Amino acid sequence: MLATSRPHRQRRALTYHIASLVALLAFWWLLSYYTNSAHIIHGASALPSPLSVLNAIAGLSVFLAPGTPTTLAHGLAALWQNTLVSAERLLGGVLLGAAIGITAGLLLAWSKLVRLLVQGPVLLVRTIPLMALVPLFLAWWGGTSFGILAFIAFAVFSVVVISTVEAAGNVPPELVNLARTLGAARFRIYRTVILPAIVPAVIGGLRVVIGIGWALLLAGEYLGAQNGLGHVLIMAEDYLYTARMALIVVMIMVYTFVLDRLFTLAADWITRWMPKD
Amino acid sequence: MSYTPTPSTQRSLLRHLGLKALAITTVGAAIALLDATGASAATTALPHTATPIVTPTIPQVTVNFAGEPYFDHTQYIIGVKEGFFSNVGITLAPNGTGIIAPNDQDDPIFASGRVQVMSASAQLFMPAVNTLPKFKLFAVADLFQGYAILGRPHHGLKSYAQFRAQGLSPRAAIVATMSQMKGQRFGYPAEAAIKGFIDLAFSDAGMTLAQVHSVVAPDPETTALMESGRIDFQVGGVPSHLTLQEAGFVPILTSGDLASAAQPSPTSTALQAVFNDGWVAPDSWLKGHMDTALRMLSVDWRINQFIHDHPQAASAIQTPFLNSVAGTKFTNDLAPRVVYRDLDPFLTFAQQKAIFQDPRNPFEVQYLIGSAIQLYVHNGTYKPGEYTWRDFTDADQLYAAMVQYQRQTQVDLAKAAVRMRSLSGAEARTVSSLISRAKQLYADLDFFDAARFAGAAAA
Repeated sequence: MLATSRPHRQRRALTYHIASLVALLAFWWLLSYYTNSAHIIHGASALPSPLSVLNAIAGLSVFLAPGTPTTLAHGLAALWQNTLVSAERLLGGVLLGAAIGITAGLLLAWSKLVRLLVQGPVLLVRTIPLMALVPLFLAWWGGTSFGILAFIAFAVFSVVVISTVEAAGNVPPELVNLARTLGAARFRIYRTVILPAIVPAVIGGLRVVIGIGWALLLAGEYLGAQNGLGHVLIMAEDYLYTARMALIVVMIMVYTFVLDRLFTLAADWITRWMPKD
Repeated sequence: MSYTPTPSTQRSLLRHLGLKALAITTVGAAIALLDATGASAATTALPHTATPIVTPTIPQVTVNFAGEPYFDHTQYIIGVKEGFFSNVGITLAPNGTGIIAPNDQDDPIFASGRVQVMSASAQLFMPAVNTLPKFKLFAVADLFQGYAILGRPHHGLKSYAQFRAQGLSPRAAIVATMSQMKGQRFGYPAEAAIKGFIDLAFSDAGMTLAQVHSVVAPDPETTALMESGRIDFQVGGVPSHLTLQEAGFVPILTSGDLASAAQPSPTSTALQAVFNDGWVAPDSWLKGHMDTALRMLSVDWRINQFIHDHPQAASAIQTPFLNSVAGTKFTNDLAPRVVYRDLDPFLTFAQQKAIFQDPRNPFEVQYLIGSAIQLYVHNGTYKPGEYTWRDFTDADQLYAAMVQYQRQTQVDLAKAAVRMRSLSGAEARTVSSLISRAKQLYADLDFFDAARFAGAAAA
């Protein structure tokens, strides 16, 4: 069997990826064509075609300002505007939640007393179904931006704190013992051994958060958001604009993919000192 | 009919108006608003001399406001754009327009206490009465009668209104209207509220669903089936109603039709299909801000009057705003043709007399809320006798209070005109200015402030 070169393998993989995407699009198109011709003939079809999803971009123009003409340019501007608002909320919530989560996780790992006192409730927090919190957050914060930020931060915190505690607990004891035998004090061990050792695991936890981040954001924007992609989705749901709903879903998929790639690049750079397998 | 205000509302009205005495009046006079001197809040301290003349002021206040992304809850934007709110010193917050939330978010947002006034209906909040802050509908905007059986155009269908115009009795008109559906394909969703309307229509017509070919499906599907001619009649929520009526389909029977034929009684089940939209506030806010509530009431009437007098201009303000917050694609001609006329007719100050002071009118607010209470008693949400309509609205009392202010303004303006004859110089100019302001406020339906300025001019 002939060995294939790496570039060749990559090209082949890319071809497969593109082919599967095209097949998926074709399947989507055919399915929507069938459902439309069988039942649905107007805009609010149950399964909008890829073309009608693209056409839905122009329909977003109205979100720019009262009386804005419906054009693709205006639609793209509205999409961009709402994306920025959502991205700002997402990043704010992730940063806040991650900061609190990592700090709390490190505190839990540092002090046995804190661990004994707090770990139980923290583990309980992890079991809270986040979607069930949406109406409660709405009642507590009444549709304010802070409520949305707090919801996302809470969700991120509940994931990150556990992954941080677990990462700290999983640091090989021989590393800690070695540092100790070399005379390192507790804080120094923490700073120079434990902290660097948990970085990959914490990054792994954050990557999970990034993966579900946009979904969290959509849930957060159910908290009475006045703009953002979640707001657009909620309003589309209210008026049964299925093509617009599908457009937001597609955009969330794209943004999740892009954010994940960016995060992976950033994580690779942060952990560049680590040996790669 | 005699309106006796609840003690708490009397107290709060009086406290805010600074009145010294209370005189309960009989027909049409709900609240004694004036003391023995006939002076109003800003002027009660004045001695009965020509000087000094104290010019009342209208304070600047901010009201945290929430609306919903529908035609019956965004008309307030007309008040914002036309300056009706700012004329009476009110700014809506945040951003000058308040927030917009779909109706499934109303309860938690209201419960958060971050909204002082919400465009909603008492009926919307009634199921959650035990967990929400105590609330009151204090201003009525429109009569929601959005449920309708729609039929295909150009099929010779006649509506209930047309049968009534032919001289049929309400009952006979319902029978004739519904008979057109026999053996036809009828699409509707499984939603409980809409099913209630359908059951009522069939029961009033002496028919059953077995006499039609039912197609139970979500609104988008039945809407599409109507457009493709695969079903003949449809009932759905407001978005599908608007979509189909805009496409030319005709409403043959609305929830308003059923209710108009109802008995004027809180036990009338037909009234459960309609309700008043308006402005709802926590009871605690109302008690502490009665003057603001009265000013908002005047804005409510000005908006409704504007819609009544200039439907095209009103729609040109409201529709783009609704589109911008809801992402909808409504054209400006829809609201005057469908919404303002059939779906959510907004009620002017004059028209509201019938819903507050005409016990023969089935749409009287006590009957509409009373029938909803019966519904919740029936389904076990409330215990019998646990709530009365008075627990959910003070709108009738505020209306009556404003009518009293209107009358008092007329009296004081007449007195001021007499007084003017004996004045000269700066004093005459001040009184003249007060009279002008009072007249302007009166014309703007702010009878509360009109009475204050007229009282100052007459004192």
